[in-house]
Amino acid sequence: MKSGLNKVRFNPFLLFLLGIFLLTSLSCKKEDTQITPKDPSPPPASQYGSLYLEFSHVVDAQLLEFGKKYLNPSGDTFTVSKFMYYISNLVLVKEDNSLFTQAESYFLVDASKSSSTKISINSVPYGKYKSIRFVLGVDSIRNVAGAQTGALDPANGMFWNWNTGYIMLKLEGAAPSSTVFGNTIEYHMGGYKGVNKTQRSFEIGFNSLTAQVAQDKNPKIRLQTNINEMFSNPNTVRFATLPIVTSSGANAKLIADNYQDMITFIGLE
Amino acid sequence: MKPGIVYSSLFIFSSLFFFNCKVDPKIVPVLPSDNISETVPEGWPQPNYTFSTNPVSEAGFILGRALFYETLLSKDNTISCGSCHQLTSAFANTDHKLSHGINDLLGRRNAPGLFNLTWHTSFMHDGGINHIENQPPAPITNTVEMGEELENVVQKLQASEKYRKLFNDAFGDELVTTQRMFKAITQFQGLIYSYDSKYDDYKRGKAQLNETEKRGYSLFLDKCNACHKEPLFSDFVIRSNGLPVDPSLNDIGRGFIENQPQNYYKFKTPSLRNISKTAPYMHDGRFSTLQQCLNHYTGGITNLTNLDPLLQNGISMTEAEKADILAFLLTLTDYKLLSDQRFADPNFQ
Ligand code: HEC
Ligand code: HEC
Repeated sequence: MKSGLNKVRFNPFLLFLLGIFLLTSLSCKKEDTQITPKDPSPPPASQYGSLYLEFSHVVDAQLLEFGKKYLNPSGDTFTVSKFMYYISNLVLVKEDNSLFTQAESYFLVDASKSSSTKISINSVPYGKYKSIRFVLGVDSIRNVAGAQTGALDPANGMFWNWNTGYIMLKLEGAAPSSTVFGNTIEYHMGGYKGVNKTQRSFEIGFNSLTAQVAQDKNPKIRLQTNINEMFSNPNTVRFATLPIVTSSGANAKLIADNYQDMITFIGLE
Repeated sequence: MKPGIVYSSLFIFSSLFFFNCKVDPKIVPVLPSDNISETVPEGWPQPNYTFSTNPVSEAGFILGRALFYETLLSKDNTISCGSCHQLTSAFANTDHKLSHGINDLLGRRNAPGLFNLTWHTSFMHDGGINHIENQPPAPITNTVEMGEELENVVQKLQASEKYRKLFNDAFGDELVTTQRMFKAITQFQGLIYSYDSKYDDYKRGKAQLNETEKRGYSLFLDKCNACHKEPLFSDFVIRSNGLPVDPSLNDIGRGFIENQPQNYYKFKTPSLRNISKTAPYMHDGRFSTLQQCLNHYTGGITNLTNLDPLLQNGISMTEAEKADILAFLLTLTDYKLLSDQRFADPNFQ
C-alpha cells in the first residue's frame, strides 16, 4: 500500500547515516545503566560483594502492626492498613568519601510484604562504607520518562494515571477523629516538581561504624521508618483537619517536610 | 531511490551493533512493510517525542494496533480504545458529547481526535498527563471509561495465545508487562500522522485554495493562529477561551491538576486539523457545529476568570468573515487519514 510517506522527500543516503547514528546511540544504551563506581580505579570484577538494607516500621517506640491502635504526636488515635514507599537512587559513601552509585535502584517497600523490606545491593566494590544516601520517593526524571517497569510499574498502585506522577509514599488507615466516611485517613504523597515535590533526600551515617564489604563480609544496615514523623515537626497534622491528602500541592508538601527525617539508622550486622 | 538497498544495509549494520551489545536481535527498527514510520513533514518543528527509547518496528505497531482495538482492556471486555476514538472521525467520537464507558457510564469530557500526538507537550484536555507512553493507563483504569485494573489486563493478555505471540514478535519473548503494552500502543497512536489535507497540498504547491478559502486563511492567521498555530494548528498551551462554566459538570480543567485559582477553567488548546470531522466541539462537546464555535469567539465569551489576554475583547468577525474562516477550516480535513486502513480495526479486515 502506498503511504503518505512519499510526500516527504528523503535522501536515502542521509537516512542511512541517520539510521546508523540512531542505532549506535540506541543499541548500546544498556551499557550506560551498568554499575558505574565513581572510584577512580574500579576494582577487578572479582572484588565485588553484597550489602543489605533492612527496613523496620514503627510508630514511635512500637513496631507497626496493621489494625493496632496508636497515638499520633497530637494524641489522636489511629490505625494503619497500608504503608508503602519508594526508596531510590542509592549511593554508598566510602570512608575516603568516594562514592558507589547503584544504577537503576528503584525499590518499593511495602510494610505488608516482608520480602520487600530487605533490599540487597549486589556488586558493591570491596571497601569500608560510612554512610548511605537515597531518595525517599522517585526522582523527577523518572516521573517524566514514560512507561516504566519493575518497582516503577504503574500496576503497583503507586502511580497517578490522570495526573502523571509517582506516589512517593502511601499511608492508609482509620482514625476516630477523621470526619470522612468510615473515619478513613489516606495520605498519597505525590508531586515531583518545584515547590510541590514530595520526594526527599536522605544521607544516613552509621554512627561512626563502617560497613565493610569484603570476600566474607556482606553487612546488613538496619534502618527504621517511623510513621509518626509524618504528623509533626515542623508541621502539626491532625486527622480531624487533614484526614485525606491525595493530590500534590501545599498539604502534601506539609507532610513531606515532616517525613524528611522519618528514616533513621538503628544498627549494623 | 532504492529503499531495498538502504534498508538491507541498514539491517546488516544494525544487526552488527545489536550483536555487539547483546540486545535481542528481533527488536530491529526496520520500517514496517506497509510503510509506517516516524516522520517529520517538511517545514514542521521537531516532535516532542521521538521514539528514541521505543524503537519502532512493524511487530510493535501491529501489537499496538491490536491493543488499541482490544476490548480485553476493559473490565467487562466490551470497550476498546477504538470504541471512543474512531478512525472515520480522525479518532474523535462523533456519537457522543461526553464519552460513554463500560455499563454506559457517562464520562465528563469529549473524546478528542488522535493524530500528530508526538508533537503534543501534554495529554488530556487539562494536560494532566506528561508523556505519551503514560496516557493509556488513564482510560484503562478510569472507572467511567474502561474501569479495569492494570494487573488484570496483564493477566488477560498473558492468558491469550494471540497476545503471547504478538508480544513475542514485538519484544522477543512472550512476557506481557504494562511497559511493553504502553510502548506498543505508543507505536500505534504515535504514528497516526495527519499532514495530507488540502491545506498541506496548498503549502507544498500541489493544490490551489479558492478565493474564499484564501481569504479565510489570511483571516485565520490574523485571528486564530496565535493559539491554533500552524502547521499543527495548536501551540498546545493550556489556557481559557472564556467558555461559560456548565454547572452540571463544573469542570475546572487545569484546576484539577494544579489546584490554584490561576489554573481554573483552563484547557489544552486543541488542534484544528480534521476539525470538520471531530464534532461535537470543546472539552465537553457543548457545540455541535463550527458556526457555534465561531459565534462563541464573537459574542459568547462570558467566563472572564483566567480568560486568555488575547481574548479580552473577544474576536471581531463579520458574518462574511466567519464564512471565509469556515471555508478555510474545511481545507484542514485529511481524507487520506480518515480512510487509511493501516489504522483500522484489524478484527474487521
Ligand atoms: C470511554 C471512552 C474512551 C475510551 C475507552 C478511551 N478514551 Fe481516550 N479519551 C477519551 C476522552 C473523553 C478523552 C479526554 C479526557 C480528558 O481530557 O480528561 C480522551 C483522551 C485521549 C488522549 C489524549 C489526547 C489529547 O489530545 O490530549 C489519548 C492519546 C487517548 N485518549 C488515547 C486512548 C487510548 C490509547 C485508549 C485505550 C487504552 C483510550 N483513549 C480509550 C475517551 C476515551
Ligand atoms: C487565545 C487563544 C485562542 C484563540 C485566539 C482562538 N482559540 Fe479556539 N480554542 C482555544 C482553546 C483554549 C480551546 C479549547 C477550549 C475548551 O475545550 O474548553 C479552543 C477551541 C476551539 C475549537 C474547538 C476544537 C475542538 O476540537 O473541540 C474551535 C473549532 C476553535 N477553537 C476555533 C477557533 C477559531 C476559528 C479561532 C479564530 C477565530 C480561534 N479558535 C481562536 C484557544 C483559542
